[in-house]
Amino acid sequence: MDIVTMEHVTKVYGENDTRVWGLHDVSLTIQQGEIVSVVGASGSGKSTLLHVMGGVDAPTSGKIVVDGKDITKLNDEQMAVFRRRKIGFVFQAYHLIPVLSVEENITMPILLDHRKPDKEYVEHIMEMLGLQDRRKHLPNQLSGGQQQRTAIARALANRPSLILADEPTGALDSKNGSEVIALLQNSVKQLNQTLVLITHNIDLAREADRIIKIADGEIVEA
Amino acid sequence: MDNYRKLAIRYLNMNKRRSAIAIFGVIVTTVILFTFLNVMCGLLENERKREREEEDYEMVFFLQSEEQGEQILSDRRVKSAYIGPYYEWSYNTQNEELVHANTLYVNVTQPYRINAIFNDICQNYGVEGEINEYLANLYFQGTDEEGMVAAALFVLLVAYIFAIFGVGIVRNAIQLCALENIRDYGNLRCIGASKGQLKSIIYFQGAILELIGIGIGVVLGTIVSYIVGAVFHMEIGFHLIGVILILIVFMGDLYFTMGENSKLITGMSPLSAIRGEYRIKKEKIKLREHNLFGKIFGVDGDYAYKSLMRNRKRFFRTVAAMVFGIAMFIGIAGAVHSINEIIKEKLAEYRYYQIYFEHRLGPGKSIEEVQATLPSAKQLERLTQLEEVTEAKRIYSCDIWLADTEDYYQHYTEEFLTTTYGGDAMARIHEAYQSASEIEGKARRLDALAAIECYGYDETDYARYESALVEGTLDISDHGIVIVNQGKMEKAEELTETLGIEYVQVAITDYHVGDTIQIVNMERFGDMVQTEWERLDKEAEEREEQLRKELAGNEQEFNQQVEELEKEIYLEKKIARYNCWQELISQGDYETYTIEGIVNADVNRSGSYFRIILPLEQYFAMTGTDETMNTGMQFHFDKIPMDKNLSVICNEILWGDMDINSEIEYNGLDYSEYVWMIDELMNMKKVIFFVLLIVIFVVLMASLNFINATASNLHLRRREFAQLRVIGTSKERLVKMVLLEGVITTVIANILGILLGTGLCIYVFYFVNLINKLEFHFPWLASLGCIIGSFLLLCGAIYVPMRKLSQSMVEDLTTGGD
Repeated sequence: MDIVTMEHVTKVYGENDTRVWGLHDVSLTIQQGEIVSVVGASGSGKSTLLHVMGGVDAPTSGKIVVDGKDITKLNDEQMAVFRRRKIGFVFQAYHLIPVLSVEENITMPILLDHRKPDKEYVEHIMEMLGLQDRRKHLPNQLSGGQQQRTAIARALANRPSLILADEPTGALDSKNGSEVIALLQNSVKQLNQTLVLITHNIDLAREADRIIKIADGEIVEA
Repeated sequence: MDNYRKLAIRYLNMNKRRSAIAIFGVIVTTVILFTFLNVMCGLLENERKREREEEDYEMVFFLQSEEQGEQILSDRRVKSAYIGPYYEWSYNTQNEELVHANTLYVNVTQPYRINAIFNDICQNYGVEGEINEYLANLYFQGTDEEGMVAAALFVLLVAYIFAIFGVGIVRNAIQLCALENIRDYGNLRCIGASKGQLKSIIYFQGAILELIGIGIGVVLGTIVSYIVGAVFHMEIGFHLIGVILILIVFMGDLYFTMGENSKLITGMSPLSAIRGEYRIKKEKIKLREHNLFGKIFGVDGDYAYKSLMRNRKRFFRTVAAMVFGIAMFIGIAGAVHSINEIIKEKLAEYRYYQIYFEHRLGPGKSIEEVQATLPSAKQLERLTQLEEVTEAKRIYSCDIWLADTEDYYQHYTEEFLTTTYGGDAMARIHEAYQSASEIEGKARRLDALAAIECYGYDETDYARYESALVEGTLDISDHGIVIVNQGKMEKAEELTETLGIEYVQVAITDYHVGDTIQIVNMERFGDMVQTEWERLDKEAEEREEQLRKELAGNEQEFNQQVEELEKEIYLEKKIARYNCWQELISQGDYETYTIEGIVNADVNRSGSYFRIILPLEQYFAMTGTDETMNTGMQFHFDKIPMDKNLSVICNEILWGDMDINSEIEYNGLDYSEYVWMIDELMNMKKVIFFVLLIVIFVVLMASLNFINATASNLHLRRREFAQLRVIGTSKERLVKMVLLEGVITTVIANILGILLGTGLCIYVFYFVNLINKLEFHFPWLASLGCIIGSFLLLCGAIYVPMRKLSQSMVEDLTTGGD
């Protein structure tokens, strides 16, 4: 089953002379449960691909269907709801809410959806990611690896169909990086989710089910 | 680009609107401050000129020799001098007395050093002298130097407060600009810009905004000063000292605040700047448990509270500033509202005919005598023609005399006799009357016990009492009367809790409908007393003539004897009146009137006392008068009279051309103090209104600063907002979540501010009440306005920048925030 379908997606920044192609006529599909790595040089359009796929940025043209829904047709409110229910993001800079504890950061997407967090599930994720002892800690009291694990836990908390990770190990040392990727892949498999992972690390990329290579906003190998 | 300062102008041009707002803020503060300083300087200059026209010398020296004078004259510090006698006002003789004949009057070249130069000259040339204290004070010299210095320091303080507002706006604008372009500063650092060069960009931006604002502000302030001068007929001029002072305080303050701003960019490494890591200091965020707001508003409230608490200092500073502003506003508004209510209450006490001039008829007073004391027809006509006067009517009033004073006294209520000043006086008079064994003792006090005020009203005025009727009817029989039996009366002195006059509402008598009052035949009584008094007056004239002959040449003795004679005749008249009254009673020449109506307030005129009111025809019949025998005029105003002519005419009526301080001989004319009361209250209102304007200005300026500061803080958090949006918060919801922070702040600030303001007001009123009983009225409307205003301010300050947050989360995630 296709979880992501992108058809002739284009993203253009700027106008006229300053026009830059972020994505140029990109079409691809990703199957449910698949782990996909996206690789490419800096400025090749990897992050743009991830952003439009996750509804964080809107494409200039083209169609993007995620979990059966054409997200290009959603308004801001609908898109927000879709993101918190269907997409889990993991960024290189963690992007945790500084005033919330680990546990609160993890449950935030659920609470935003006006639902009660499934305590058992949240406990399971925290245990899986080794965060039980850090639940009451604030992000600034955690190491980089712990912060990234919290970000992963948050991405998994709402049982999304798609996890999008943008260089999740970029700010970590190699030991912590490998650990985080292992945890991420493991969690995704355990929970039967789909993972799209951007990385510069070719070894990490090879561990994925499929590698998508991107250059100058175009997919050169899928 | 040859230097980094050009960047400053480019940054300012990048956000012209913000720069314009900052300049506008500086202009407003400068206009107000410069006008204030310029007018103050103008007034000081005018006063110096006026004083020099009267006494053009700064100091005097009492010369002992010609040589001494020449030595002083040759002193280079002496600008001009002349010799003459020196007089001083003597309070003992109430005249000017010569102090020294050969006195050197001196003006010096440096009037701001009068004290030092005077002491120096005295010491150097061994001479004594005096400083022209008043003129010296005008140069911040003399013995009262401290007072003038304190006044000057107050002016400086005002200037500094204004500078804080003016510079505060610029500070926030530059801070926001610095944060927006933080990456540029990082780049500049990377390519070799020194901290000093970056600092100069910040300082230059601040200086540009400040100087443009000050320049325009001074020009506008000069125009405003001239307008103020023209309105108040003063010569104000242009005083450079105002500009210098503004430049010093504004630029001085700017130096320090721009220092703070430049720390923003110089305190971070080039790398952090490029990464968009704005904060110099890491926030020390504490873990907070779920809170009340979380319970009420769910996750949104929880987040809002935690966001506020991430920087407790800033939150408490914001709340404190708001609490202070709200408290000040509520306090002043409370005072304005209370004074308004007091004005309403006070004005309502003046009833329908707010202004009157009357002289009641009475036994011994002919209508000619009474009317001679009334304002002239021309004065009354001028009053009638005032725009606000909607009704002017003749007054018919008379003191009627009771036949049985004891019966009447027994009807006084205990409350009246024991709690009011008038009742207490009446009880003492009654006691003295009863215990007086001689006729003189009784005659002296009879009028206080027997005379009652009686007013006759036409149909319209009489019908007005219907609203105050508490018993019986106004439709009375030929021998019926209506009494005014209640009033707000001056409280007995020993019962007052304040230093001022207090009032108490009392029933004066316990009369009821059906009770009777006996009144002597007033027409006959008047004639009898008139005849007796004319006889006594004639006798006085003859005796005065005889004294003049006997004491010719001894004026002092004559005056003394005449004074004694006047006192004797005055007493004789009282005795004669007493005898006439006794005669009427012994002859049974009095009539019994039945109380057929009782009203609890005099709706037509101020003053509270037991009165009889009658329809005109019955009044004429009871008092033996007719419609030509009016005893005054009364005026009704539909709105508060603002025409200055009113007080001019009223003052003229009462004091004519007399010196206001001279002793006024009471001629029996009774009048309401409405005009003076209005003047007093309006002046009080003007002062408080002025204070309110200052508070509003301060609040507005603070609000402008607050808006800018909020925009800066939100700008710092834009990465966090992007994070929230990424995890599924819609823009609308995010705005609501952040608005909740404003709501929490406003709710707390309003509760504390209103409580503090009200407490402050009650506290002030407590002390005011020790002097005068004034009731505090809570300013409901102002409080509502304050709540709405602060909500709009805070929520607006959050909503507008939040709506303008970049649509692209990606941009904020990669560059913005911390």
